[in-house]
Amino acid sequence: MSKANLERLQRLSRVLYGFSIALIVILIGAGFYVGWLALNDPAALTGNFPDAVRDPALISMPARIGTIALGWVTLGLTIHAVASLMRMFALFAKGQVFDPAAARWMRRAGLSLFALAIYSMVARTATILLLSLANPPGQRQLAIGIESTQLLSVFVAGVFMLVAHALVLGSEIEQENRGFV
Amino acid sequence: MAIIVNLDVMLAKRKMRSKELAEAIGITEQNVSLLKSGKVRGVRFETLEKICMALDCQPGDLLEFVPDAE
Repeated sequence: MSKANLERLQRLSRVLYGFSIALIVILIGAGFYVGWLALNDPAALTGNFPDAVRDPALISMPARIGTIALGWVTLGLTIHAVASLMRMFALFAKGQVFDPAAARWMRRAGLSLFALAIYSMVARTATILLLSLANPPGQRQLAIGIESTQLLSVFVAGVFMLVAHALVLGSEIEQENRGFV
Repeated sequence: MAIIVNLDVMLAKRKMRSKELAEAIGITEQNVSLLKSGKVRGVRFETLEKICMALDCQPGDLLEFVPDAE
């Protein structure tokens, strides 16, 4: 393995590790802030769905809590993906590129991203339904759709898992090479 | 393992210590020790060449094939 390439990889991994920590802190902070905001100002919930709700003030507290909970599941899956990648970056920073543990963390990140992509399709439908419950009868909405970003997320998750499998193969080859002098 | 490594015999003949050989051929003393005991999966030709040059011997002096007893 080229020493220069390894050092470059380790440097980049340290930067990404720090970035991951910052991102997790920001996501958790944003989650609490948005939750607090949504509980106190229901109009904050309707920003992404302006046509779903006639009067935000009529959104019931259970509907608000349900919507926040749906958002926190999304947040949880995102944080889990970033945390898994953070663990992978930590191993890369130590030079353990072909460590089976690194491959496992990457695979976990891929699974989280995949779950996130599938969940976001369901969550959007559920959120619109919850918010529109405040509308008069006949104006409640059930919106089912798949966005290009969700399809892209599924694709990216698949790529992550594929690369993780490649890393496992690489670790097996490295183990084999270690046995040679 | 059917391949026997006779590195310790050659080191004794040449009156060289493992540490000296390790330094001469550029591998760790630990790897030399593993090689002596045959606890390696294989030897690179490059390493074999360096050992032969350091010990002034042939690969056949270092490696011996003994069929496994049935």
